[in-house]
Amino acid sequence: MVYCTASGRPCRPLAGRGVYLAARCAAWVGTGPHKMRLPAIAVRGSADASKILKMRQMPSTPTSTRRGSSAGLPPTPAQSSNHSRVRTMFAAADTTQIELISLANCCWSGAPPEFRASSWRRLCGIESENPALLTTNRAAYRKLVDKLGPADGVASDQPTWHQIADLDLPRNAPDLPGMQTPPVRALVSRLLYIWAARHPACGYVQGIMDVVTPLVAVFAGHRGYDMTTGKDDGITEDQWLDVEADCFYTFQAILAAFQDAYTASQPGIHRMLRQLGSALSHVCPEVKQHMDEVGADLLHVCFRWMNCLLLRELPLALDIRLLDTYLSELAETGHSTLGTQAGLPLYHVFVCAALLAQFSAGILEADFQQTVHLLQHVRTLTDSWGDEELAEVLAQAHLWRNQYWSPGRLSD
Amino acid sequence: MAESEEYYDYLFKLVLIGDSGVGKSNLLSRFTRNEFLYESKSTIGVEFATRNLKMEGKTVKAQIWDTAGQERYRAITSAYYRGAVGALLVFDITKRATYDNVDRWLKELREHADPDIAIMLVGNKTDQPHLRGVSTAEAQQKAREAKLSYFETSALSGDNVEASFTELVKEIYSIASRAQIDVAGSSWVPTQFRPDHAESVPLGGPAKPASNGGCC
Ligand SMILES: Nc1nc2c(ncn2[C@@H]2O[C@H](COP(=O)(O)OP(=O)(O)O)[C@@H](O)[C@H]2O)c(=O)[nH]1
Ligand SMILES: [Mg+2]
Repeated sequence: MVYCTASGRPCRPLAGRGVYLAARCAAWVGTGPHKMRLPAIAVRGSADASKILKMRQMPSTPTSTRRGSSAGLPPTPAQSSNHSRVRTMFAAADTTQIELISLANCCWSGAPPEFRASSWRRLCGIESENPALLTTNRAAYRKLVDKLGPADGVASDQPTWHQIADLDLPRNAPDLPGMQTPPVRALVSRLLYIWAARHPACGYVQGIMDVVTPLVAVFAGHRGYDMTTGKDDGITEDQWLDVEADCFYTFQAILAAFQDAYTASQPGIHRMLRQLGSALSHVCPEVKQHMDEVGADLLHVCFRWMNCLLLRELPLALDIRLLDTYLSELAETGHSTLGTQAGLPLYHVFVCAALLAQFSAGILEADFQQTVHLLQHVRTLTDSWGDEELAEVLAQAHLWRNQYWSPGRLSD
Repeated sequence: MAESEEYYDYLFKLVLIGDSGVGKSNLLSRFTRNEFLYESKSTIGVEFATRNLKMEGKTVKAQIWDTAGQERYRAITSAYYRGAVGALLVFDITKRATYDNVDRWLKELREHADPDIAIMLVGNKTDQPHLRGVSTAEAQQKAREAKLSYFETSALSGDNVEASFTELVKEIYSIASRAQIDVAGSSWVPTQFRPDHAESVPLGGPAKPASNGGCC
């Protein structure tokens, strides 16, 4: 069940997590895998956390030696073994059902590009081995377009349409020409408008447009659309509607997990920020203390991290990679009775904590202004990241989540 | 980081407010970096930038916070007003609705900001005179009634951007330096310069730069 602990890749088993976790922790602290014991969750976190943090920074740990890789490098052995497992699943899909849980488990570490579109659809439940499911869903989306979409370009909710199409669309993803072509602009604005109409408690909230970009990149990309040039390889109008439907349902699935982040006064964001503060005081107490001392409020520096699910803080290739993991988390925990208490939002909080930890050296030297500046411009640093750096953050977050979260433990 | 920017005598926190799309972020980037981006991303949460100005031989660091204009964010943006000594309330001279909302922004300032905050009304996008929907006279009138100063700018051409920010800082500086004299004579001190606001406005004498062990 435990894959690739040797390489330190962020692969997780679904059963026996305690064992896996212990193995991973043991690997981190170098005591060998036979010490099958969960880190004592009841013990005050800071001692454990600082130990792990120190381990993280030790050059001998596997996770800290993989620096300077770039997105163009071939997948690591662990990743390619997961990729090949997914490929095998899809190759046999005619005769053997793809288990959602196995798919999620593999895609958590990154989906193979050629099966990403299909994997994502399966992870959000709009595609299965029965081809009728996807067809039905796409037809249902067309009905939504007829019912709720702007009729002949005229929207009934003008303020919302104005905010989406006139104010935000022109300044969406300015670095990606593929987001500004007529079919994509039409797709993005209509999708968001329909979503807002279907979710009146949220409505359109600035920042959710950022979530659409990686979805377009994957679903239109799968049809040969080139995000860097906007060349579309003869995609028909009907095919664009399929792309839009896939984007819409995936978008809906992701935002469903974060819904109270976008309702009036955004309680979900405030909860996640409180949880982040609490998580930090366990996993990086010195960073938390320093930020408190200089007065760098998480509300100031990490609001966007929550509101845009970190997607603005990473280059497109890593946004896509991040969503591999998030959609896998969703597929695994989507039906969890823990609801918003745990699940994807909580994991996201720990991803933010792990990202902050990456910059701990810089933060500890920074005053208030420098801290805010650093954390509001992490994109200038992550632009040079490859899969490896993000994988390290995701694995760290997974470890910390399992180690530090139990009901009521993080303040919320 | 930013060595030359480190020393300052005064630190003023200013906030940019106004409807979404009026050009707040571009005014900020024009003033602090002399940049205009045709397609800058929408602001989420709060961002800020600084620029040092000279006033009567003293260095004033203007720390300017940029906020999102969308209604949804107002609950959190109110937190950003804390400690602000100046506000630029921006509208788009080509979009009447953004001017009509000025009163709502003033109300929000009254509710959340310090009562003594210096406010400047700014009509942006003067590079589009053919699209003008709000006349200068009309805006001046509103400003006069609300006892605000009024400037018209273009973040695109850069017109008047420097002048408007500088004017606001000058206004605050003159209150602040007066306040300091008053502190010496222990008379009235505007609330935003009282010690409980000192974290963001260290005015009890020239502030030490952060690098000298001080902390803002
Ligand atoms: N013509 C013109 N356009 C401007 C000016 N300032 C901003 N814009 C444009 O207006 C849009 C919104 O600007 P932005 O600074 O993001 O507005 P904010 O939402 O208030 O921060 C962008 O497309 C800018 O290019 C200006 O002075 N003149
Ligand atoms: Mg802005």
